[in-house]
Amino acid sequence: MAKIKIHFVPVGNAPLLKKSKFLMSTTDKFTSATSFVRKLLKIDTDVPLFLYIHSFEPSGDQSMGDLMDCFGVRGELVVHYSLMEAWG
Amino acid sequence: MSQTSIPASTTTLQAANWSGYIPILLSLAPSSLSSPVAPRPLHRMISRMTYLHIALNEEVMQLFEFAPATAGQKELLVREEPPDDDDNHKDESICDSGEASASDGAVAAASDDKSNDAIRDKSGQNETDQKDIEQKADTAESTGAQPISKKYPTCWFEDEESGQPLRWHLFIGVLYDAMKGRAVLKQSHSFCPSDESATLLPWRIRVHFTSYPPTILPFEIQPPSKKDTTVEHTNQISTTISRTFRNSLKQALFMQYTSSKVANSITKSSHEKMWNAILTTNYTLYHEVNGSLQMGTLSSEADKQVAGAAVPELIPVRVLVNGNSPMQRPCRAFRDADENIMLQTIKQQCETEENGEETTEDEKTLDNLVERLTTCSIRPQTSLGNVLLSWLPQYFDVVDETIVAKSFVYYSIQGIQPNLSCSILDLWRSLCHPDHFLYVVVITND
Repeated sequence: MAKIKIHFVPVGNAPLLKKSKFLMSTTDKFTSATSFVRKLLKIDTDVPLFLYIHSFEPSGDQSMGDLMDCFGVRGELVVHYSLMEAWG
Repeated sequence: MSQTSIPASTTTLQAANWSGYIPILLSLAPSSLSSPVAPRPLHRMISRMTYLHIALNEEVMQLFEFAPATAGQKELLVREEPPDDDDNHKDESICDSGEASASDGAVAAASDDKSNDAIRDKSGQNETDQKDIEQKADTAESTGAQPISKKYPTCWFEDEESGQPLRWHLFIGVLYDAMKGRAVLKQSHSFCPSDESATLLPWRIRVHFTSYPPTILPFEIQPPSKKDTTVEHTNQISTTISRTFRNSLKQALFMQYTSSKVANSITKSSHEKMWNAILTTNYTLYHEVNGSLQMGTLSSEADKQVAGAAVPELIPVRVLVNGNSPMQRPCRAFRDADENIMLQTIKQQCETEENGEETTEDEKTLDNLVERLTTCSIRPQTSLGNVLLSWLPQYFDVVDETIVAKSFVYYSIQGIQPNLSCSILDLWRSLCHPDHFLYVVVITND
């Protein structure tokens, strides 16, 4: 199964991650990235969490592989995470 | 069509697309009925360019009165985590959660009691959280004039013929094309062809207020953040869809311009204007904002002057195969110059030079060569067929140097089947949806 490198970058006052680069499967959907960050940050579903690529929020059913092909830079996909809306 | 000529008819075609409506018959799913008498199904004409929850807002409220009192609330926040997504992600690698395969299978969710139970279990876990959210939402509401009972319920739509749940974040036209594709293929492959196309319309849709299917994307309703507390929560569904639309548009703009600059420069009022245009199916209003956003849609002199820049870096294209999640890959307006053609050109050039007058200057030849190499005849436009063949080689074929769809494959864009040799750039300019994505529906019968 092909893997791609995801780089999670905090925005605003979002807490830092001890480790910020992870491998995800190309067939994973974007919603699994969201639940993964929730787990890493140990936050519940009632706490707002926003994930962005560049300045937009991808749809939950887009595949990580497609997102990497369209928006990846230098072999990795940068995903910004924020506890509040960052780019309306 | 050359790179610089922008057809004046693009806006005419877009306007024509915006005037497309589909007759539907909306009924309440029997499983969501609580009253002894079923409400009569509702006939409506709905625009291809909007979303089901937007177009059928009032009708849903009408039918909701016949649903059980507890329906349409409980499952609101059950979402986000794929069902099998457990604590096995601690290492650096996120395992394949298997969610893709779950979404690939077409599940007749209406009668799926197991998934039903699973959802109930989850909602049990989340109940306390949910109450908090609901309370917050209620307090927000109590400041407004809307009574709580008018709150739009959580619901989902089902294509009655196939039993497939309809994705709420796709445009109605795209959903309808997929349904029609299935019917067309069924008809062409049956031995006793019936007049099935006659029964296609009105499109029969059911609305459900219970058992939200796990196969379609849940509503990503964000709990109200501090910033949001003043926002009305009376119609969170509409807010959520508008947000999805805005982000899809921003994504498409990034692909066109390879930067967030244009997307981020859209003012709040422009966003609102565009959303209002979708709510009211008003192309004129939409074009007021969109004219300056979408590359190459203005046929004005100003646009012609920057024609070089009017070709998107990547054309936003989404292909939906058999109702699965969209495929979205980089798609360029022009194919790379064919090396053979380049070689031929250079060869020809050299021959001309040899046979030509002695006064031919090297510089002139070079200029000429560069010019010829950069013209469209050498950089062929990407066709719809090129895109489909490269993304879906199992469904498209090359016969006598022409790309064709295999016999069990149906494709459609905005309800029509353009020739596969059409330029993807031209198709995108005239047939893309309001979020700037060109949605290509592919249905197969294999």
